[in-house]
Amino acid sequence: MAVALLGGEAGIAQYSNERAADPLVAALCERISVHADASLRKDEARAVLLRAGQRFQAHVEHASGTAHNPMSDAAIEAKFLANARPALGEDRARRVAALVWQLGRQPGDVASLLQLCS
Amino acid sequence: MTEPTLMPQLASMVSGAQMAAGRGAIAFLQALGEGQGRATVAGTRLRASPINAAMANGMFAHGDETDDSHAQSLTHPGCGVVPAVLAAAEFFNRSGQDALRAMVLGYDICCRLTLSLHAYDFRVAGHSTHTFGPNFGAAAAAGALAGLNAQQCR
Repeated sequence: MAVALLGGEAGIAQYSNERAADPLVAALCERISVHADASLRKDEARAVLLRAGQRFQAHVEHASGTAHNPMSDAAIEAKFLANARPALGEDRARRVAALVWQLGRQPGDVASLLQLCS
Repeated sequence: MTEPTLMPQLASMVSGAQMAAGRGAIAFLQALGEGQGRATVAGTRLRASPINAAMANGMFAHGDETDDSHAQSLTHPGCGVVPAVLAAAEFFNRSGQDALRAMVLGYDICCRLTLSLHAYDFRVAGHSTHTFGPNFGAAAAAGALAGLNAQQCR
């Protein structure tokens, strides 16, 4: 939650030990408390942010990527690139994504797909 | 649409290969003397026998917890089914279309099997559906790619 508040993203890139140990992140973590709420569904969350006497609220009815809030193809590809880029590099990650979108249409492409992933 | 489901599992595999679980899987393959087999080990230059490649890819796929999850059946279908699909499709030289169809079958069997056991009651009784649901899905998918008939699947 702290890295998401600070940078707007909470993906693999934000899950590093360095990021967790960042003084700003650590300081913000001190001010965050997390509670289970049995009245919420498993894919639901509420957040309350207090700042100088003001109170802000956010409610996520269904988490992103669940049956009631599916991700768009574009969002899935963006997530794929974010997660695969550090391992494959930009160019190869984009070629893998392009190949997956046409996987059902060309013969022999499972082998090419795997080759690109190795 | 199966492609949007496949894509994040591939990312999980290539990124997971660099994590502790991935390094452990690679060390296991090397200890077995693998390296030149017929199946691709994602995120590495290693090749292995299809079964060991699928196992390593499965360990990679769950390494950073970015693989998919099916709440109702309490399983992670992708990390078990996708590696089996890839290894079997490569081994039997199947098309992308065949691989996608096998993936759908594998996800379906994985989730239905543990749903039929009432996954949440099963968990209360102390069992983990995560540990075996995907095995059944992986077996079904690989069997389909191998071209097994109904009798052979039994």
